[in-house]
Amino acid sequence: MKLFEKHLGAGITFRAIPKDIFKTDSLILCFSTPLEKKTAAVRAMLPPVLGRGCEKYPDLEKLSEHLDELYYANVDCRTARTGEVQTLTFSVRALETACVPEHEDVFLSAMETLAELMLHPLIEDGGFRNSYVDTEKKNAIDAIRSQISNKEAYATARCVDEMCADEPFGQCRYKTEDVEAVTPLTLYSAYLDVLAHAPVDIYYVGKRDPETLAEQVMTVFAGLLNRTGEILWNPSTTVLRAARHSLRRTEEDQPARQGKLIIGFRSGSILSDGDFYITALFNELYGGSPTSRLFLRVREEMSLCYYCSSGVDAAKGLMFVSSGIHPDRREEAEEAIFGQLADLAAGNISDEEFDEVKKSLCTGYRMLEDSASSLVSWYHARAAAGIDTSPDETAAQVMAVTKEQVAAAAAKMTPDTVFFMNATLAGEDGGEEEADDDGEE
Amino acid sequence: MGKNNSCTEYFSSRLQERYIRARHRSGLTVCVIPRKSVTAYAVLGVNCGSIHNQFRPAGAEHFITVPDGTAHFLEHKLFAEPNGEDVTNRFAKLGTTPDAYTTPDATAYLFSGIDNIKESLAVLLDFVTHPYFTDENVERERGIIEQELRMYEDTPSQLGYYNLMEALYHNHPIRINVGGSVQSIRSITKETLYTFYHAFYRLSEMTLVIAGNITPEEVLAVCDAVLPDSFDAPCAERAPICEPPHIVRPMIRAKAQVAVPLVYLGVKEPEIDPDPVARMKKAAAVDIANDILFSNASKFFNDMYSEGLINARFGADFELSSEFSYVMLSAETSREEEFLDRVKNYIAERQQKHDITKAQFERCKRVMYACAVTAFESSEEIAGSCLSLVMDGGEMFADTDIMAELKIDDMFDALDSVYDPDRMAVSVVDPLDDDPR
Repeated sequence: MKLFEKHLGAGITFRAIPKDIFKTDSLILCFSTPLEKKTAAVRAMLPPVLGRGCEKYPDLEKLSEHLDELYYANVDCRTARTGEVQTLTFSVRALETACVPEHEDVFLSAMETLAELMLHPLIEDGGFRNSYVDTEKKNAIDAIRSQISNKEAYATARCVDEMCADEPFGQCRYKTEDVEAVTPLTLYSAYLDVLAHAPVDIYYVGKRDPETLAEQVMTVFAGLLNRTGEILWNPSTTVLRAARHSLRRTEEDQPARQGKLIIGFRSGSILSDGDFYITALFNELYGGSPTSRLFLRVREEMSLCYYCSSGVDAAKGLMFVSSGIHPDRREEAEEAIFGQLADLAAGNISDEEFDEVKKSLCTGYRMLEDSASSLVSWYHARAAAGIDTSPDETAAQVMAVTKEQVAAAAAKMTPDTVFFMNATLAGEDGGEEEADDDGEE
Repeated sequence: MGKNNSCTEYFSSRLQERYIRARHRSGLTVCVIPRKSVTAYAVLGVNCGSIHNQFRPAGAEHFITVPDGTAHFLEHKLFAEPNGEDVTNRFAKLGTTPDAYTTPDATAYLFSGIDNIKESLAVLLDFVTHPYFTDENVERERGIIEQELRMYEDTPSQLGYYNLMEALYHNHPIRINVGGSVQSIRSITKETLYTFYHAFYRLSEMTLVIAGNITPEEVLAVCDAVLPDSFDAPCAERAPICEPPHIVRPMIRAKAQVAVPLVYLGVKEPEIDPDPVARMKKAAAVDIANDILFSNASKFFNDMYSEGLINARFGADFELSSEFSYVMLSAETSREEEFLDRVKNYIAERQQKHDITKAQFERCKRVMYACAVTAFESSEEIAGSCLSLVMDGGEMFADTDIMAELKIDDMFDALDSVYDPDRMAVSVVDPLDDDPR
C-alpha cells in the first residue's frame, strides 16, 4: 500500500493512511527535534504546557468541556524519543461524522481546537503563562522522581544511562535541575524555535478524501505552514555498530523484593539498513515472544522468573534483555541468557521454532492494520529511516528470511553493559505488614 | 445453528452494531461479534476468581477453604499439557497467541490472531476443559508465580489498593491479593488445583466471546466438535460471605518507594441489587456522576490541578459486580489532608445542592456514547466489555440504552446513596523515611 503524500510547506509533509474500518478520524503532527542535553528538558515541557489551554480555551475546564461537546474528541500533546530524535507529538481523534447523531463534523472542529492550542497559546509578558509553567514543572519533576516506583522501567533507564553515558541517548533522561531551570521565557523561545526549524510530519488515518483533507489541514494550520523554513533541523542518530569495550557491570541496591537484571547489547542493526526485519525476527526467537528461547528456558524450564524478555531499538541499534529475579539466582539467569544467544548465533535453530516465530512476528505486523496509532508509529519510523514498506510487505519479507540470516543477526549482538538492581528485601516474605489486623493465612 | 443450540441476534440502533448470543448444548454461553477487522480476539471466561476460596464440592458435606491465590495458580497451570509442553506451542503453530488473567470474580483465557481462528478456538476450548496437573509441574510453576508476586510487592499502587480493601472489608475475600502471597502459594498442590477446577470449571458457568471476521455458525460448529453433547453440571456451592455494611477502619498507611504519596479514598457500597439490569443502571448513574464531578472538564479537577494538589494521575472508578461494590478515588498528592478535606466537602456540597446542570449531564452522556462507539474499534476491547457484562448477567447493548435513557434524578440518587461519609476509608502510601536516593 502506498500512502497519499503531499508537501504542505517548508519541511512539512502530509501523509494519509487510508483505512475504512475505524469509527474515528485521527490526525497526528510530529515535530522532529535533535535530542540534546541542553534542550531536552525544555522541549519536553512544551506539549504539557501547550495542552493546558490557549487564548480561546484558557483552562482545562473550558478546553475539556468543549472537547466533550464534540463527542469526547481527544486531543493529546506529548513528547517521545526515537534514537536521538526528540519528537513532540500533537494528535487529535474524533468520531467520524457518520457516528455522530447530528452528523456534525466534530473532527474538523477538533482539528481547529488542536490548532488553537498549538498556535495561539496563552502569552503573558513575552512568555508562557507563569502558573501553567510552574505546575507542569512540578509535575515533570514529580514524574522524574517517581521513576523508581516502576522498577523495570527504572532499571532499564539506568542501564541506558550507563551504557550510553557518552552519547546524547544516555544523557537526556533529563534531571530535575534541568526542569527547574525552565522559565516561561526560555520555554517560549524553545517554542518559537521548534515551530520555525523542526521538520513536521502530519499523518491522517481514516476514510476521508486525502486531497480534501490536505486542503483543510492547510487552512486550519495555516499559521504553522507559512514559515520560511530557511534553517531546518536535520535530527539524526549516531549508531555504534558494536560495543567499544568489554562487558561493563554496574549494580545498585534498592529496598525491593525482586532484583532486576538488564543486559544492554549493541545490535549492529537499524531500520535504515533496509534489512532490520531480520533482527526483528531474531528478537522474536530470542526473547520477543511466548515461544522464545528466553521465555521457554529461563521462565518455563528453570522457573527463575515471571518474565525474561528481549526488545530491540530500531533507531539506535540496541537490544535489552530484561528479567525480574531473586538476587541469589542472578548468575544462573545470566548464564542462560548468554547461553541462548550463543546457541542461536551457532545456528542451532529448529524448523519448528523458526516457523512459529515467523508466524508470530508476521501476525503481529499484520495486526497493526487494526490500530490507527500503531500505523502512524510504523510509517513515521520508516519515513525517518527513508523506507516505505507496509506492515504486510514486511511480513512477506520476514517469511523469506533464512536461519543463517538469523544466526548472523545473533552473532552481531555485542554485550555492552549489565545493570543489576539488587533487591535488599528479597529474603523477606511480603505481606506481613498488610495483615496486621488479622492473620489471613 | 447446530442441534439444540439456541441463538438470538441483538442489534443496537444507537450503535448500528450487532452481536449474536447463543447457548451451546453443553451449557456454554457463546457471544459472537462480527467485525471486518484483520484481528480476531476470543476470550473464554470462567465464573470464578480469587474471592471464591470457600466452597462445597459436589457431594461433600462441608465447605472447604483453599489457599489464597488458588484461582490464579490454576490459571497459570492450565496451560500445561500432558506431553510436558505448554499449550502456547499449539497456538504458536497456528500463528496465534494465547494469554490469561485472573480477577477477583473471574478467570479468563484468550487468544488473538489473524489466520487459523477456528483451529485456535478449538485449542482454547480443548485446553480449558482438559486440566493436567502433576506434582512436578505445579512445583515448577511455584517459582514463576513467586517472582510474579514479588514484582507486585514492589509496585506501590498494589500496596495502596489492597490496604484500602483491608480498611473497607472485614471478611470479604476481596481483601485478598488475587495472586495470594508467597507464603500462601506454598501450600497449593496438584490436589488443590483439581478440587478447585472440578468445583468451578463447568461449561454451564463459562462464557465465550469472540470478535472478528467469523460467523456464529462457524463458532458453534467448533463448539459442537470439541465440547460434550450434554449440559454440564452446575458449579460448586459458594460459601456465603458475611460482610457487615460498616468499614473496618477509616485510615490505613504504609510506606514504599514513591516520590509523591499515593492516596486512595474508597467508599464501600454494601447494597448490591441481585437484578443485573438494576446494577447496570446504577453503574451508569455512578459513572456519569463521577465523570461530571471529577473529569478534566470539571471545575474541581481544574482547580485542584492548577493548585498543584493533584496531577494527571487522578481518577475515580466505580466497581460493581454481583459480589462486591465500591468507589475508589486515587491521587498522587503531597498535601494529603487538604486533598481529602476538599474532596469530601466537594462531594457533600454536591449532595446537598444538587447543582449539577442539565447541560453538564447531557454533555457527559455524549462522552459515554462516544466511548461506547469507539470500543467497537478494537476486537479486544469490545470482546472484553461484552464478556464482563454478559458474565454479570447483563447484555452488551443494554448498557448503551440504559445510559441513553438515564435521567438526571437517577444520577442524583446514585450520588446521594453511594457517597456515604460513614463508609469512606483512606489508604495512603508514603515515601520511605530513609530513601537511599
